[in-house]
Amino acid sequence: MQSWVWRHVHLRLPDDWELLQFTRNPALGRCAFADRYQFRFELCWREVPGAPDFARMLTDYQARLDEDGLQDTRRIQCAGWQGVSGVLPDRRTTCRYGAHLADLGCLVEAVFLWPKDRRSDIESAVLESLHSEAPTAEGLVHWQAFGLDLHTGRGGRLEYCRADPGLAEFGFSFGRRRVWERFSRRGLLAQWLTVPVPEWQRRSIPKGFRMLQSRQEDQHGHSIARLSAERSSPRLADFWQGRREYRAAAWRCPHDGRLYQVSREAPRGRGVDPRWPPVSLRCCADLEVVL
Amino acid sequence: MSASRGDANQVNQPGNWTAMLRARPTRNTAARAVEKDSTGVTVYVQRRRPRWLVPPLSWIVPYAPERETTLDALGQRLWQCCDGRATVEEIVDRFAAEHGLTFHEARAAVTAYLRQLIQRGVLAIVMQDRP
Repeated sequence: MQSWVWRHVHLRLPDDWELLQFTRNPALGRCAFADRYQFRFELCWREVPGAPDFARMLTDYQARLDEDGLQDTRRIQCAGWQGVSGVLPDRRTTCRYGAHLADLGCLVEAVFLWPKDRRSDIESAVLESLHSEAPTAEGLVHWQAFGLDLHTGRGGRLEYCRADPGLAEFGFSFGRRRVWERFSRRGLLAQWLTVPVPEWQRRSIPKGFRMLQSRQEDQHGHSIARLSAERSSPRLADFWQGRREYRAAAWRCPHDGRLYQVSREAPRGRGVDPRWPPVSLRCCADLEVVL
Repeated sequence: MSASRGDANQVNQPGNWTAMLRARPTRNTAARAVEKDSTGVTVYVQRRRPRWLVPPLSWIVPYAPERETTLDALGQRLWQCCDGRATVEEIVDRFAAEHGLTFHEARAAVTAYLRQLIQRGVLAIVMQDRP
């Protein structure tokens, strides 16, 4: 089983179920997971003002499944979750459970799709693991998906998430996009990484920035390249916000052979703000790099 | 059918791509591959001469009897795997193992590359009959 954390919701799923579709909208959305042949699990969320009437919700849902032509619809319960199951015309069984996560103020639905026999042991393990993961006391928010295990600042907006072959990347913005935090994990290195990691990182400095310093350090068998840069020609806003600074750390994890990078671009004043906690990215059990 | 990895707002396809995984890509028998150096292969695919390409039009419009496709290292590996016996799923598994990718990462990469090669006539795909 592997862990996933998306939109403050943590869950554990079988290793071969991968996230294929996702929504960035925190108010309403879904994540769909698939094994190698078909979709197997869907996590849906919707912000609600208060706890819904579950009994009525499930009755309505069961009636809708009946209308849709599903057979053998019935109420089910698993690991303390209530739900409804039904058999689709192609003989697949669908089991839909719901819960209200009061601390997140949202309604979550966990939908399983079983191509053959229903596996209540897997359902139970997944539902037991499903819980809310609110921001930490330090103001950090946990995300875990596509091999990235990261902590970003609270109040960030997930601006983009790329999940291409050999490239997973998250980008968060804060405060009217004045601050950016980016996390990436790159594979297929033999095909494109032709220079050492510190040199690659130097080349990845955003346009208009000049490097201030770079250094390398070793931690638990990982060689981490760190650098800082600043905007070379300040703009008007830099005079009251502070000159824009770029800080980044990159390393190659010897366990999975991937290249990880965490970076933050912010006005310099923000960098020393005690309310702005240091972000982190973990590549394996051995290493978590804090920026 | 296929399923891309990405934003559900942009991508929302029904989920069963088993038929695609069971298909067998095979090389175009009319194509010839030339190994140019140790890292690349160029595949030449014969083109049919258009009927309208007759003098005096043919004196002006250039016509190449072969279409040239240069494969990089990944494409070359894919070309080697597409022997008409291996299924897309087996090729994806091989690709994932060789490059340390997950199954769906490798599937997305392999199917995108296969699509390009099929469009260029380098490969053809044989679908398995429905049971």
